[in-house]
Amino acid sequence: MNQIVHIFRKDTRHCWPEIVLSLAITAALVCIYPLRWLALPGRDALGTPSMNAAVLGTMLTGLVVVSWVMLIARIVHAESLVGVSQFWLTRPYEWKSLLAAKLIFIAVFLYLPLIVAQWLLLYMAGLNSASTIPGLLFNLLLITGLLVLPLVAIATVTENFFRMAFALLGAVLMGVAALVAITVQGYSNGYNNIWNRLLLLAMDNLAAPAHSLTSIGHHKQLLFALLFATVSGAVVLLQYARRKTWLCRAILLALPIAVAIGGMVKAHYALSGQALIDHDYPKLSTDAAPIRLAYGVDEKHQIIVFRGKNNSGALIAGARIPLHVSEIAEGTALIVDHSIVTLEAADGFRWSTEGSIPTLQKYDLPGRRVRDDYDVPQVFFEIPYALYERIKTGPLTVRIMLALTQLQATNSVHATLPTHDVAVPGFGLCEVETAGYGTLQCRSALREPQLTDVSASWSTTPCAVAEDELLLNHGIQWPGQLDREPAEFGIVPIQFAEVTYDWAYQDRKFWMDHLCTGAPITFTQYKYTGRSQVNLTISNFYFPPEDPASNIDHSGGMVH
Amino acid sequence: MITPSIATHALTRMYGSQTALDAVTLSVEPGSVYALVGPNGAGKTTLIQLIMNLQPATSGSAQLLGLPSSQIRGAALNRIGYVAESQELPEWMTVEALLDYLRPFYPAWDRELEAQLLRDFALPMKGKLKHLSRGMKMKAAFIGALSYRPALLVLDEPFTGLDPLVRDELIQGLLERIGETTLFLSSHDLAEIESFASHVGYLEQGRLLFSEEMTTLSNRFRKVEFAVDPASTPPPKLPPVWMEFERAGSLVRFIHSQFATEEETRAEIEALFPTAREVAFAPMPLRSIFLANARTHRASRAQFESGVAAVSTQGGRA
Repeated sequence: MNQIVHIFRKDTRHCWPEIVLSLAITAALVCIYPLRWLALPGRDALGTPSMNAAVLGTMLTGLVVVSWVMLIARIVHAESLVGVSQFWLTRPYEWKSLLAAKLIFIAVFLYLPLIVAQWLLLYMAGLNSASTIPGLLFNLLLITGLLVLPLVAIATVTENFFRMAFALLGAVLMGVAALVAITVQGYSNGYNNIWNRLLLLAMDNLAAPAHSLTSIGHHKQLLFALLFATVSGAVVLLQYARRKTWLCRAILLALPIAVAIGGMVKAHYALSGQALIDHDYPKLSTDAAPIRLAYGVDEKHQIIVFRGKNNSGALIAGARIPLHVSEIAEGTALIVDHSIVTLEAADGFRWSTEGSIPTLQKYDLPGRRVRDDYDVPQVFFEIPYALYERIKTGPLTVRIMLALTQLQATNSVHATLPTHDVAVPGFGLCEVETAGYGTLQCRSALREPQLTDVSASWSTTPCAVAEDELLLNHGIQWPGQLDREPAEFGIVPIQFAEVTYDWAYQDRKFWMDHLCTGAPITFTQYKYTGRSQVNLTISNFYFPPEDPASNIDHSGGMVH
Repeated sequence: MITPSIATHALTRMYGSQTALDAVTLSVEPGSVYALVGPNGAGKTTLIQLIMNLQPATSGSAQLLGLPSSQIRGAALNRIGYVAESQELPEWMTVEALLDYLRPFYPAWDRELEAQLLRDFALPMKGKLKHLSRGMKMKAAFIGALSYRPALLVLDEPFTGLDPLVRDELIQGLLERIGETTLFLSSHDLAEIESFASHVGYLEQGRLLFSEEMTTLSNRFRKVEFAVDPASTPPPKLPPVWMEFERAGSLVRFIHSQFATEEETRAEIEALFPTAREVAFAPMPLRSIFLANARTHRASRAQFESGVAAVSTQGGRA
């Protein structure tokens, strides 16, 4: 114990300038970050207040991490584990005491200020409560596994700060190169190849690649944190106990390679298309289905076909097929995770969107929510133009499959928008940002709130006009997410959700709406209840003539 | 039986296919001053790093104070001191801070001895190590290694690059510890260790050519000169213990590496050179002994390698 304290004191004396710098950056973060939501004098002085505070806050968050890298490098390299000429190697250090002293240093000068800063930020955000403690601890676990232990591990296998910085830079460049390669190849090499599947995994859940398109119930942060913590922890222990530098370097290098290989193997064997959906989205009987689909063209429900280019620049024909949706139970909402459209011609020709990359904006619900009273539901798909030319004279059989995630409303909070924060239990605190068009700025502790339907009356006229002249319009937004991990990995424990209806596409026009104080607003939270698929077959289908006015590029299959 | 302070058995270290240390076996008696000498690159530092557990041996074993070298860490280092020319000190510390930091690590730290060494070495307490000269840094390292009265002090090229005055001060400091501390030091400068080493080992290209007491070593090497009839033919084969044999006209000169008595050697000479006369014997300084050994070893190695090359070339042609 004496040796632990002795080494800890020495490190504290040695690193006091870096400690002071790190504490100052953390203190600056605590002072500046709340300007995103606090109406303080300094906020106006910053210009566009929340934006500048956000930029400054992000920079300071980055600087906190940089100061941690510096501190970790300094204390580990003070007794460098690489090489044979270090003074301490021939002194009676107990490796356990040495390691313990370093860990205590990290606890005292990294974790303690972080916890205090996070608590202060939550306090200033009005979000501090005992219920946030598990989330704070979970976040600390994520920070340990994903940031601190890997940094300590890299420090133990490098000789000095510059070599460590070089190794970190290499790791970042490797990661960026892999992501760029996956993204470029995934989009440009056609569908249903390994890159394409890797892209799906990277977008959805690489650690535990879901058989699903939404990662409900998966603990991807925790899995990654545990994986990195285990490997990094093993490296740190091995280095301090045995100083097996090359072995430890090999282990650290093998980690991203193993993750990449694991991802590729998973991608290779992962289910895709209809098989994937059949696995995770059971087909229910008509009575048990959460929704009923029908097809019928009328004045409101029109088929639209247009010509355009897809993401790869290839000529395509886009088609929107309107749907009649009914029998959605009260208090139920649905996310369309994926849709597959299959076209069959009388001569045996068959074409399907099965292998396409679905749009994985999981919670972009206004574009995905299937409710007959909200705009016109329609399924959209793209087909290579040459194929379209071949089949456009019809008749065709169209099979539509929707993979749905079902949600059930849990509780609703009704409020009138005040000029200051409105507290929504289980959601967070929201205030109207009066600059610009007026949006609802919400903040929550540690993670995005549970998926919530925010319904409000939005004005199509500026808020400044007389109240009786306001042209109100009903608007719905869906902030939040379904994942229930208690915290998002991050230094700042506050998540922001901007609920806006500034730009709305409706009736083929863009609208700019305004959220004004005094407007009624309802927050309805939803929970996940299950998944299913519904199918619709349209016989004797004919494409109408192209509509040049609709030439807007889109991709993926979604219901509008 | 007294446990040797250091004992190695067939200690070997390979770097890839290159042999840095080749099956070195030696023993250092407690209380002795063992000087490990050899040219640069001979493997002295490698040997010291192996016995100090700074790097692992490829094969063989080493023991320090009865402990396997693989266990030389933690509390085992309470009784072992180590100073190396290449050692990195915490240069941000002052001498005072360094000693304050080291003291609690050693239960046997002797503050009086520390104070005495500080006085003897005239070391400034407040200056940061990074601002001190090389000699001053080495003095600080010595105080940090002597003040807990280690049973064994291992020094790797401790005097390299030091001015004579500092070197003498350090040697004086070491001489005062002789008896209570076994000294094991490496050096490529023979003159600096000749005055106080009791034992000596000679490393050449990773191989320990000899390891023995200084007096024995001095006694068994003699420079021999004699005259012969210029017309006489030399014997076809000379004894292997005759090193650096030279003949210039009537004068013959060589170094006898297994000298016992003048009478025996004279008889040996007369058996090979019947016309030999005016045989003279001269003791050799340590420096000359090592130079003779180094030259002989290199010449025989070169001869061996050229022989191997010739054989392999012939084999290739065949």
